[in-house]
Amino acid sequence: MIDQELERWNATWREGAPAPVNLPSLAERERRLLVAWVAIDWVVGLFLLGFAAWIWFAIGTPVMRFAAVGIALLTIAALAFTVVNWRGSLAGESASATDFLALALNRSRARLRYIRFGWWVLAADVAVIAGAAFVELRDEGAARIPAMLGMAAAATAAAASVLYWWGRRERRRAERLATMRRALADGAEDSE
Amino acid sequence: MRDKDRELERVLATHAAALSRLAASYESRPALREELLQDISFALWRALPSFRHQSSEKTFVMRIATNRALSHIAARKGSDLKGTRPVNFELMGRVPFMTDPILEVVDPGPMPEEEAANMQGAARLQTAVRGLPLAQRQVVVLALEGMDRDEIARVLGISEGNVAVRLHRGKALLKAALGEEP
Repeated sequence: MIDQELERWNATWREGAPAPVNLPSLAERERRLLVAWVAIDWVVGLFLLGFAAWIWFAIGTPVMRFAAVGIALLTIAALAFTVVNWRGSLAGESASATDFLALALNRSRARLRYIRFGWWVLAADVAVIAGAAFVELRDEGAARIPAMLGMAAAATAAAASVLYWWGRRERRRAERLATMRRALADGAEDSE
Repeated sequence: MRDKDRELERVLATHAAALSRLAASYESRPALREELLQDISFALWRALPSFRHQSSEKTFVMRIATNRALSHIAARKGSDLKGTRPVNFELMGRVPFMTDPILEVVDPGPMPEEEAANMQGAARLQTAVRGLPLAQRQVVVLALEGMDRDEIARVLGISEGNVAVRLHRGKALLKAALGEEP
């Protein structure tokens, strides 16, 4: 059966293609952008691993070696997350919209769990820094304490800001995905 | 040029107009629309090697584009669940029918009322489609692109019956928006 309304609208609809853009060049731009992001992740990660190695070998006190291990472990965890996250965010593209929404929502919730884990790691980090400062104060005196605590406070504040901003963004995304999923599911129930 | 890139160019050339219209149905702001098209093009580049021809190429392309549009809505900056303004069809001389709260998530772009009064033809239809609730909009956009119920059902992962109901409602809303007789 020919749907006359759709036929009529269809003709008008096709007149309405926005000005053509060079889609292959857009794909290429996005590809370069993602490559740059991934490269930045790895450059920063490798720099931090190098920094941890330098602390281990060049300074070599027990406290600093402990800090070096902490930096290396956190860097490896972050790089592993980066790999998993990139793979995940590019998966399920060709699934149906219903499946894709479910997948996107699960992914968003997983990221929120990761962010919550990040807050725990940060809290543990603060405890370790406090312990290291105490050992430093007991064994070496107070000379390096202000610089040590200053750097630690700056790094902790930066990490907390990133976690806060990212968490807020991710919560908003999860909320919107859940709203869309509910709305689309309601539409499905209505018609069954 | 690699085979994958050549294939992408062919697919994008074939479906460019449809993709542009689909993007415009979900995003009114030109800069963000281009961003959405960029996402879609890249997602197609990624997904093309996995295309096994179990559905038509158009179904495959529209699935990816629709999914990217959903992601775009979810991730869009500056959109607020409370602070957005739904399209006011009353200013187009129509009966207002927009009560679906999902509208508030979908299109918080510039208010189209000022433009709407002077709009004609395709632009007016595009604005009216953009004002539809998401569930109806998805189906109407795909139907306007010439897809049949079976194809739409495959793209959205819903039953054909569900497509029929959503299309029926979507058309009724669209008619009201465009001031046509029911």
